[in-house]
Amino acid sequence: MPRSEELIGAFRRLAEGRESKENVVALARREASALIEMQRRLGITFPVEGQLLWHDLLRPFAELLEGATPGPLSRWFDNNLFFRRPIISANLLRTSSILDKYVFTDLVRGLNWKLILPEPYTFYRLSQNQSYSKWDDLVLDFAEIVAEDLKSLGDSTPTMLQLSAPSLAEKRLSPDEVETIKEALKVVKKGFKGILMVHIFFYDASTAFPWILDADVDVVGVDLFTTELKGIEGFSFSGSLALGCMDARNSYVESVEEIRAALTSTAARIEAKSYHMTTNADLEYLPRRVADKKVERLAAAFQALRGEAS
Amino acid sequence: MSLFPTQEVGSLMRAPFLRKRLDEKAVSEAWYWGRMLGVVEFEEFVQRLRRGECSSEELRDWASLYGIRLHETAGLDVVYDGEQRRIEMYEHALRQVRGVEFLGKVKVWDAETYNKAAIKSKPSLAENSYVPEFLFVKRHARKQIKIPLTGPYTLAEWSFDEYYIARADASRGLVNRKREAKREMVFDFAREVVRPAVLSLVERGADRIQIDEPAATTKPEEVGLFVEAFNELVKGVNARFTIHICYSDYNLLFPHILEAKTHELSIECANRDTVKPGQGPGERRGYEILKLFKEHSQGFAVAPGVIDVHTDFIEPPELVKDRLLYSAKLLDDPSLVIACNDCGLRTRRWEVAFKKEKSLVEGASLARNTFEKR
Repeated sequence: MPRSEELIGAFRRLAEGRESKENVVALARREASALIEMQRRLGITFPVEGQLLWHDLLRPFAELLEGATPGPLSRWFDNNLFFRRPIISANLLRTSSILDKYVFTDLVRGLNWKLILPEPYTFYRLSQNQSYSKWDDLVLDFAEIVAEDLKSLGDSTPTMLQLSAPSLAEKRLSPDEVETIKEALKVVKKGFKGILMVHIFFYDASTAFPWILDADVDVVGVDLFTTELKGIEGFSFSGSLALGCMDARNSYVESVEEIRAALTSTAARIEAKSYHMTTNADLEYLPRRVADKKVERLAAAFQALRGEAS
Repeated sequence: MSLFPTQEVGSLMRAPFLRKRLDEKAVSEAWYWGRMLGVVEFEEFVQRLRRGECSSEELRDWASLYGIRLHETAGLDVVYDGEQRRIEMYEHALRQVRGVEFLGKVKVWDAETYNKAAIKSKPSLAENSYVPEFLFVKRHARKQIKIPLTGPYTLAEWSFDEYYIARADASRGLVNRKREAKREMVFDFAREVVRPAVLSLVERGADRIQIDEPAATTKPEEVGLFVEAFNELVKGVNARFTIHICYSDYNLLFPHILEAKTHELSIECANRDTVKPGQGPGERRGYEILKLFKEHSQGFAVAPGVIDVHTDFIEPPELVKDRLLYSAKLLDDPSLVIACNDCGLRTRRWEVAFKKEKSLVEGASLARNTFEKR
């Protein structure tokens, strides 16, 4: 979720040395708490914690893993948003827990919540590898690290883990790449007992079809704003499909009717065990108040559709 | 114009007296730069400044004048005022447009944000502050003038769309709907916002216009759209155009950029170069992209940035010369090379910006001499 303008201001002051870290964390915590409460009130099945302490999705790993450091600013796929590319100068080593330092674990304890992490191949593609002679070792090491570090969350472990994976569809991958990705997903799945989702967004998810349907994951997410339906038509999936039916990169708030149309036309084309409703990507491309509206509308559409189904 | 003409790219840091807090330091800097740049009647201005007698409009006029003189004193062939009257390239441009609403801050990186607007109805140019800005510069500048404007593709790409998407045909699927909406939005920005600004400037004597399109390669599949929109906005306009694109993957411009009806393309290269002297590929790795231009026999001049605007390092004139000569070698024609910065110097202190521009001028002169001696 995007930070509020107040929290953005606090982070800015922190960067300029005019604010204490304690104050910023306290404010982020209050926002995370309110955010969780809002999602619970709206009936969101898997609320998120907001990950408001994360400057970007890779940063905790770039900052805390031995062998990695946050590098130069780089474009986040095809957005006017930038992240610090992790520089991998030595083989990755997890010397201390990571996630519990970036998640307000007490706020999500006992909740069916969703955590979002980088999918291992996507992490590799977005890093600058100066150490591994074989790229697949980096992918697999990162998968091991994710699986291991999830344990640091203890009884706050998420119910659903979303691995964000635009790189799986940015280009068509080679058989070797596909095998390594599947192996890495298996590693994560082995260490995580909850629902594992791979979410492919910003690009046409059909680029990763059909092999992604055979990966060891419970949910595959697709971005309906970049995925041509004819590319995924006719496939069937034994797991669930998460349909990104609201555009997280635009402030236009889709109507319930538009969301319904997107879902039904997609579900009619591809068979799955069940369908999840979600935004096509995380919401940090929006100002906070617009992001809140999107969440509210998603919940309203969910309630309307569930009402119709029952 | 002789070989390796020199030009700025756009912005300068705001003049010291435009800062929020007008303290004694700002006043003495106004005096220092007034004297250094030979600004006429600067002493009187500084006295009035000290007494707090200047209106904000006057301050902006003086800032514009100081900006012009900074570029001229450094010796540049083509100048502007360092965009002293503007907020920044996106918000300043959209504040003058009807049909737009600013929704709030969105992240660019870490705690850096920008105020992002949504298009709520068909956009059109409501105000045109570019004209009075240009006329002021025209009245005072003693060199050729190039006025920068933000391009239609960047304005669209950096904005939300609530108008076109709502009108686009939903029956053809979300992907096509979004694609059609984007296309219409970019063309409306070209026809209804940027082109009217360009035409009114040309009518008042502007003959060099720079269209800033830093977003041109953000979505590789839309590079063709950026070029089409550019061609639409310059159609039939009698002026010399520069497209400026910085911090981008320039490979993605091809082949579409070859269709652009531009006279010049300004790109950032120094930032990805080494600072070692020499004219070999090892030292000049930031300029390799020019090979691609040569390969495609582009029909426009190229302004490869030879000054890095993100560091206080002052490029020695010899380094500037090496970069220019290497560029000329790669393009196989020195007359196709323009000497300029990677981008605007907004993030550099005036002292640094001035030294960098002087180096640019001296380096271009050294490069020119090399050819004249032959």
